[in-house]
Amino acid sequence: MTGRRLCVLGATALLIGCARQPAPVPPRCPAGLVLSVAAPAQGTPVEATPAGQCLAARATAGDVAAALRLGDFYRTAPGTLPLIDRRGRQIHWYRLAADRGSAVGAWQAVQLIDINRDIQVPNDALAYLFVAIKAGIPEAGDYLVDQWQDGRVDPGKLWALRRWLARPGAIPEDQRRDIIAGLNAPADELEEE
Amino acid sequence: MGDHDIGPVSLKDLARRHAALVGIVLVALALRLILSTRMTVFHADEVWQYLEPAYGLVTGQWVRAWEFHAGIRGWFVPLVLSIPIAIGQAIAPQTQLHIYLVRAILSVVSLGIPIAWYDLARPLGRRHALVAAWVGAVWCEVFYFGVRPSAEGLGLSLLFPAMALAARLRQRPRMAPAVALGLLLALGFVVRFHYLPAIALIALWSLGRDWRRVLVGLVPGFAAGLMLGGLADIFTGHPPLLWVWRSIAFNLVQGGSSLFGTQPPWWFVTFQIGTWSWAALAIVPLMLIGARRRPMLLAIAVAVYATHSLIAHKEYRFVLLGTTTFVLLAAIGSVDLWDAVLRRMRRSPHGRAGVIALCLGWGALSVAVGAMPVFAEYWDQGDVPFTTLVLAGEQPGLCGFAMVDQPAHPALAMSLFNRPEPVLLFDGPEAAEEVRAMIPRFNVVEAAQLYGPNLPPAFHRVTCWGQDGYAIGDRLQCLYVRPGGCTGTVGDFAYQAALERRGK
Repeated sequence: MTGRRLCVLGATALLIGCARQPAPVPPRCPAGLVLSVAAPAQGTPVEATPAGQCLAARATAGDVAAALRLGDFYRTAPGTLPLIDRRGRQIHWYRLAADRGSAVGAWQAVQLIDINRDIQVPNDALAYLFVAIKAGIPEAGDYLVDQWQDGRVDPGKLWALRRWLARPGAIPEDQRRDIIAGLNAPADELEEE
Repeated sequence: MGDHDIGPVSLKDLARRHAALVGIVLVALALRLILSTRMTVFHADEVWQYLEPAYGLVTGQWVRAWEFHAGIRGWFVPLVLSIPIAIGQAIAPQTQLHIYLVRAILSVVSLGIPIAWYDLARPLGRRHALVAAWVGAVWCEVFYFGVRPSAEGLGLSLLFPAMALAARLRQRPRMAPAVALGLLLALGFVVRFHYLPAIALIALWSLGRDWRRVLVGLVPGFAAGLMLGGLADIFTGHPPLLWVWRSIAFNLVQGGSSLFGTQPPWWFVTFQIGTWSWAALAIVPLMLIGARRRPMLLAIAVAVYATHSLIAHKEYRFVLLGTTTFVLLAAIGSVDLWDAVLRRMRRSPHGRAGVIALCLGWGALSVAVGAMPVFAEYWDQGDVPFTTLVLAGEQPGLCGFAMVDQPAHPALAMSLFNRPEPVLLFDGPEAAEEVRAMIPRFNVVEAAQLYGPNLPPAFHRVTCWGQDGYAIGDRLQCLYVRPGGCTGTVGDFAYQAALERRGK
């Protein structure tokens, strides 16, 4: 009897420990919300302004559109923001969107992460690139083919994608054929990882 | 009492009776200690999964990699490593003594491997045991990883002695060794839970005809080991062993490990053969010969390879327990082959000459594998970036440190930088502008040599340590220093916060 109770207690404790309480979803941000570049120009991240705070809370709670909007803000802000870690903040919001299924976020993340052409495409960029390709973003397929032919992708890392590409129907047929043809073309010598 | 049955005898007697083994262990220690003096790091995990949290426990300052935010790493290893780090910091806080102490202790712990290999091969004959111990001492993949603060290296140091104990317990069930076996297996699980199938096989191996007598020690020993792992988590303020479930959920259920690259199922085999290169032509047949004598070892190695092959993300080090078990089998097989050849030549296989010849052969093979293109790179891997970090911390007057466009994140390790000064991170196309805007906040910069001209003239290059032989474009870790102090705060470029934004 005691053993059984202990088991039940243990299992309950385990479940409580494992279960992460979902963050409460904050209310929608007001329509026509404007993100101003004034604060970031002075070294204050836009997430610290009332409008940015609202979007950041929504994005953190799972609102993909809010995450993309914050990423887009830092990407398209006019001029430079030398007091702000602009690249880091873009990566953060686009990755968050990508991790919640946004192909646009994944594609933006790829372009931000993969900046050193002298090494292989970083693994996380490659994983996001696959997400973008599978969602049918045509530029993503072209990008992969270019990197493959430049020797920036380890052949083994394409094994699962090649199997996926072998099944027609998931993306437009011409896109699929172009990627397969590109990946079947010879590649340069493999760069360092 | 047979040679195999080490009873309560004095250390001196033991040393006399096992003089050859003692000599081999001393060679093993020497090799490991020599390697310990190098700044070599095989994989970033050694630093950011183990050294950093251990250093953080002692000093409160560490770079928290994303795994710790996600709660998918245990605290047992960092807690254990924090002891030598605390000693090193207490004796000479401004030096790297804490790092050398960690490596020295790991070197000593890994001596259990050649001793366990001796013990595992001893029932087959003394010559088998000596050759196996020698291979455990000098095989490059064993001693290289023996001194690494990594799950895989520690896994070897825990699970080979466990295998030796299991083999003994199967013949002679006794309480104390059974408890020790349970403890080792549980700690092996805590250190690298992915080895669970192999751990289960080792436990099964220990259960002979009198299995109940083993089980009564094995179970409490295992429970005690798990408790130690759980207590380490609690002591550091985390739910006990919850990280195991979170890690499985993240890596396997959510497929998170694919963010680190995926490979086909046969990759471990092909990569290992690539690592051994032509030496595989000797190792694989010898391993098959040895497997006839110790089939359970083959089962353990295959279990390690098979289970890891099912996971999309693969790294050479993950199956190290399996790889080195194959090498142990090959060492056993080499003695069998030697005996068979001599018998065919109608000569006695017994005698020292055979053992010496085999040991020389294995030593040469280890040197050859260690010098092959794949493994040769490992010997000085990480020397440049981590030595540069140490040198950055040692710059006189240091008040702020900027890391600019470093090739990987994280690049900063407080355990090596070993100074409490603020660190800033800059990268990307706007880095030069950001650096210029933040100049008053730091007086030491780590950047590529080609980046140097972007810095204000007050900065001068101090060193590009270890990169003299590189083309200028490849000198990525150079130190630049300017005179004077620092003002202001690190703003948006504080290293830890910037790292977290990048998902690292």
